[in-house]
Amino acid sequence: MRIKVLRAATMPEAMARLRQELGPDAALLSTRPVPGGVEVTGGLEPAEAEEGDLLLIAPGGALVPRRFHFAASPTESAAALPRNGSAPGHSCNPEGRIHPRGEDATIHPRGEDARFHLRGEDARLHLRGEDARLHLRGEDARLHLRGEDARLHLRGEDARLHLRGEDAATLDFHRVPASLAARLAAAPLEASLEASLRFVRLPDGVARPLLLAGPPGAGKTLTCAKLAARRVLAGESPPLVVTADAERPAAAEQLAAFTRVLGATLAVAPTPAAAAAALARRAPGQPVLIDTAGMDPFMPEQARSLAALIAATGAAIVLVLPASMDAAEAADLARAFAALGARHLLPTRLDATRRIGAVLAAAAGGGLALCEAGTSPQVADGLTCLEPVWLSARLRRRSHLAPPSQEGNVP
Amino acid sequence: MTARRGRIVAIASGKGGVGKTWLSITLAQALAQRQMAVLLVDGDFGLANVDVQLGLQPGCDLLGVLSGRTRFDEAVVRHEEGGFDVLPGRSGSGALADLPGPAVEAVGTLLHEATAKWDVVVLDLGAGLSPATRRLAAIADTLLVVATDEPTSLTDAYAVLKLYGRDRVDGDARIVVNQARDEATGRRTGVTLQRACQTFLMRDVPVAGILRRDDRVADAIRRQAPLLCRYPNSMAAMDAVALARQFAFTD
Ligand SMILES: Nc1ncnc2c1ncn2[C@@H]1O[C@H](COP(=O)(O)OP(=O)(O)O)[C@@H](O)[C@H]1O
Ligand SMILES: [Mg+2]
Repeated sequence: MRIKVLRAATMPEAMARLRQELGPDAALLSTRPVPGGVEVTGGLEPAEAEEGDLLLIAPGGALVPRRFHFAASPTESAAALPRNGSAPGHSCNPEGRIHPRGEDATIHPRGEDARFHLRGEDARLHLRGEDARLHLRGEDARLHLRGEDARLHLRGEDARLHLRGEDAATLDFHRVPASLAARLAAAPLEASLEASLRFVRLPDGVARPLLLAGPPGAGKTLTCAKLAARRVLAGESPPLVVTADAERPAAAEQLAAFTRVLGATLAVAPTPAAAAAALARRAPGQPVLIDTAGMDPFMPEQARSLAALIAATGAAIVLVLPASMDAAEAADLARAFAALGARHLLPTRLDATRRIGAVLAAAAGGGLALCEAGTSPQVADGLTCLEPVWLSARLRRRSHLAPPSQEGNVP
Repeated sequence: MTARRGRIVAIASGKGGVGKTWLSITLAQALAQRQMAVLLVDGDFGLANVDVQLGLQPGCDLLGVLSGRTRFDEAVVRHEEGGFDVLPGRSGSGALADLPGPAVEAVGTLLHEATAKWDVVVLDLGAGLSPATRRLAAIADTLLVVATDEPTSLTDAYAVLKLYGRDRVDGDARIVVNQARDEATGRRTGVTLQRACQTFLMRDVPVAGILRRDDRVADAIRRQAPLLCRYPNSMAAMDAVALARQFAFTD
């Protein structure tokens, strides 16, 4: 039921406005005299479709929530984020040069406070050769290359720079489970993330509907609204939005408020059959987003009902998880949802969580591909593309706050 | 002698924070004052807080009974001052997403068994209608749906009544308006919801009572004392007593 309370000078005027707001089927639910006229409360029960319990809420346009506004356009690119500060430069002795050459040239500064400083106008460290490596290990390992023209050259097929200290400490800060952290710290984060986890584009919901699943409160509904909004803002036709969360009255209402604004149709489907009926109504090539009720994949009954919905809709499953979760718990949940068919992970609340080890733990634990992340409470620009570069910068920053003047948002 | 058969009265709402738990406690005590044997059951497994509002430190709870760890009569605590019994929902902290189906059925069986011993079982439900809450609401003999003057609470309460109507064609649902600015405003809210049910659901859902907003409520909750003990003459207390008067159950 939709409700509208409004005031007018006369009763006929109030009724006319009620019909204007709610449509010709508006019912008058109550009236009371107020100074200067009357206050009326009207209601409208959107017509239910024939298919069983399926309820379709067409975009009416009349009920645009007043405080709803879109931000202008997605800003900044992930590439603009700093790659990390463990960068170059130092000099100590004016002519200081070290040229380790040869098949197996190595320098190992070891010990409590091992440091390797190259200072001077033209300080350079060249590591060449098949298997050139520079390892700096230890809690606080640093490589300083300072000076006007400081450079670090790593050439060769397989040249690597390992900075164990920094990245290992970063992963530890985020509470990344030890075995995963060890794997990720073996190479610079960007590279190790790329090697250990999968980063892909989020499917568009055209070939198969995109179904958002996850535990209660993960942010599925908001994510659904964000995905729909992004498409509409890009000038494309609105997707068909289906909510299978028919038990929680507020959930459908919340989504309906967005779909109305976006001009999208919302189908409220309490049963798998109703969801399948909703899909039958999509326009050719129209993407479908399915929002679901929060569920516990360890409860056989709940797992069965999600499986039934997946079977009825043929949807691709995206697991939505809050980044603030305990990492081990997130990994367990990811495994359980993966067993139900989830292949993608969409972490939320990266804008409100400092330690985001859960994101890595869940992706690795469930073998889920990372695609996007919720990085703002705004519907219009609330998603950011997850890429190794962006993610490693975010991890190293150790903060949910954007660096000054960089509000990384990538469509 | 015929077996005693008490009633199950469940308190539901669409929206959280409308005062279900407070109302459950106050209604339990008001019914107890009418010489009924009352069992108050915390059926909000997500945010069980009957024990918190009453300042109880339960060692056992309903979940313990379900798991077989605790006997039913062990888990029931007597609230001496209020004159009623309490079955806490969940004594530990943390929230449970939702009860699985079989556990919900087990709760239903327990509640029915309880009606052999108590005249009224007051069941405080979680907000909204999760599958478990929906099922428990359908088990009740009477469902009190709590709304406030806010339009959102109205549409949410309506949604609860709509689903309840599907689950129980013969159900006895009633509207209670809580935190009403005054009697007249509350009455208007109740009647608005009643009209919506008549118009859209073809059902008559009577307005059972209006409970006014009263600062003494929050004060009593803060002190973890039932309102009827602490402020028996407050507006909200009198409104709750008037509501209880409707439940003159006779077998
Ligand atoms: N009649 C009332 N007057 C004033 N405050 C009230 C009234 N009823 C409830 N409240 C306030 O509402 C809050 C929420 O009540 P609670 O019973 O916990 O709600 P619910 O169980 O529906 O979530 C309480 O802390 C109380 O202060
Ligand atoms: Mg409560």
